[in-house]
Amino acid sequence: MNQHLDDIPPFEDAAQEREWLAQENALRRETLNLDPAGEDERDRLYRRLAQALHEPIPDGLPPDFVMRVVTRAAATPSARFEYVLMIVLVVALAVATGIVIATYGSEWVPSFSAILRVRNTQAGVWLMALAGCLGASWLMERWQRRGHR
Amino acid sequence: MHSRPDRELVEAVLARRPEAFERLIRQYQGLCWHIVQRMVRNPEDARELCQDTFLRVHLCLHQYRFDCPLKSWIGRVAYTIALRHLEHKRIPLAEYAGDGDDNRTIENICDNFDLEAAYTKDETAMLLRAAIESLPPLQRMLLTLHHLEEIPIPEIARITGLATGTIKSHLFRSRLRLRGVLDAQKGAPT
Repeated sequence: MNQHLDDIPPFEDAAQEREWLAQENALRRETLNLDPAGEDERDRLYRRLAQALHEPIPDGLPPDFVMRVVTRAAATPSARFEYVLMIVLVVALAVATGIVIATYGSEWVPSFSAILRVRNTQAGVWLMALAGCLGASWLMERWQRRGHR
Repeated sequence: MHSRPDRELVEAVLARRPEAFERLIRQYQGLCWHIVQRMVRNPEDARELCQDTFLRVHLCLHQYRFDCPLKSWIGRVAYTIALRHLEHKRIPLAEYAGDGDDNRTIENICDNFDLEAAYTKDETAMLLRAAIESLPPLQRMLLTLHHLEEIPIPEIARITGLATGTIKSHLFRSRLRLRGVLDAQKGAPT
């Protein structure tokens, strides 16, 4: 159990650090059930303490706890269901947008074309930059997800 | 970072394989109970919060990225739920974990603890149990994770989001206080 102590910052006070090491050492010796011969009074007290802290806590969960949670979980809409619902709504929105554009687009497109013609170069660059940012962000997310798998 | 059984279990739960979620609950209900019960203490509330923990796990398991052991991830869910409960009830989580005042006398070490009443029981184990119960919620829970669950401090840091130095300070102060109780009973000088 001492192997991780190097990762933990020491106390500034040397006496506190010694006391801490005595606490951890007693815990390690108690866990390994080592012979208490040669231990001083402080070590014995900390081992006694380690024994008390290692005593199991009575389980207060009812016997049917697992089945109760499983039943409630089954009755709760899952995240997957919410995800599917979201996809359905996005598709519906896309279809509705397509219908609106097909119906009324002829009235808007000329005005957009005019704007793009006036500021052709600058607008084009910014649109390309925006598309590039969105694409890079999407690719990074995909890459990170793949890294976690 | 993650173990193969963790991955298999998570994938089984996400694939809704029969009894996979039951297996997950059985595997981690002890850890959940230790965290929640040590922080909340009230058994009714603790049971309710353990249930909430596993419902939350069920709902959010797809967000687990295998970047830490499943035990730590579930522990963190339980800790967060217990923490919110304490905040809602305005129960103080911990005492200040600074290290400027630890070389104290037994009388100070045992503050908030009724030594006289505990003495009448004349039994060290009961005395210690009572002293452990008298610790603030966070310190009680940290001691349980470190001693009973045998979780190393860096892993406890993942569960609680606390710095390793802070956890060390809490553990140190709690054990010093409990040692004071034992010292007092033995009549030995510190």
